[in-house]
Amino acid sequence: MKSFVKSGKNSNKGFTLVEVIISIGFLCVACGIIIQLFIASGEVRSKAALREIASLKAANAIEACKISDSPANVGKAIFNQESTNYEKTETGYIINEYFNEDWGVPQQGTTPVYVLKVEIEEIKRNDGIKDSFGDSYSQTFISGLFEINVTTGYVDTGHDNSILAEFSTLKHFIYKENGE
Amino acid sequence: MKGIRINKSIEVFFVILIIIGLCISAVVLMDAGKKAYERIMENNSQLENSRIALSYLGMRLRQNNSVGSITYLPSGIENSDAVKLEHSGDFEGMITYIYFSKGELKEIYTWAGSEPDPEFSEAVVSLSGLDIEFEDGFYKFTAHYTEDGKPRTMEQIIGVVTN
Repeated sequence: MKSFVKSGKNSNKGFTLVEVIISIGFLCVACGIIIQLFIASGEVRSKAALREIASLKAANAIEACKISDSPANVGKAIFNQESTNYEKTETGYIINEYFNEDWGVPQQGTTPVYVLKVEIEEIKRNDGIKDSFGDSYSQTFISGLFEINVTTGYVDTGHDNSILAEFSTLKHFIYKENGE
Repeated sequence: MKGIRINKSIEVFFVILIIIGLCISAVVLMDAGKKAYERIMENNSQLENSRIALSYLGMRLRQNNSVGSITYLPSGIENSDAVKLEHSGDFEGMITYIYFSKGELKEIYTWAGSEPDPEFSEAVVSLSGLDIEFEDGFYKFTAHYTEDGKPRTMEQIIGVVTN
């Protein structure tokens, strides 16, 4: 009888406040980890959406190159204003267009966040003639055949607006009869 | 003995209070999670629908990209800008009209010579908005959507053969 009463006393003891607080603490840590995972998944989704828009912009740039007859008009096709950020290279053009955090056109005085870089280069080919050293070929241009490389990425706003990290790259070949 | 009972009662009271607090926190957390999940799904859905609409328009225009087969109709159907595609090959004589109206991208199939009737239109996808522009040989489609309540746009450019 005595042992029964004793064991009955023990079974009614339950948890102490300290035990409950510790177990709730563990539960809170577990909840915190789950919330962090949730937030991280939201950020990944947001980045994926931005990459999708970036790849669409790159595809638009190639389409703009197909239909435009000058580098200035590429910008006009992309966002209704002629490109001003382009430079002529020996064999083609490099166009840089800058965008804000929504991939929209930056307003006056705001800092761009993303860049769309379009490199247009006329294709060269080997003409089969070796140079005087005999180990390389001289090259001639194939008039009208252009290689277009489009890169989208983050802008290094602190320095020279160069690309810090790439979102997407796209390559395409187009033929322009008039060579423009 | 009386003192021990009072102590136990206070301890039980705090334990109950903590458990109640925990339950309330769990309910608040679940509600916040539900709202966040719904928001993410809504954002995803809108983004995906915009992408589907632009892909569909791009595919249809590229399929019919020949001289004179694609026509821009400003305020063409139900006071909305529309694109008219005249089919060739096996589907010669058929015409597809694509336009945006009442929150949906729609298409209408007709035979050449007959007027498009909006009653026979089919919805392609639901959208917040769509602008169709035509200039200098290219179509620009701008799909509107919202992300966390903020208006956003997505554009697609398609060059067409004009001569």
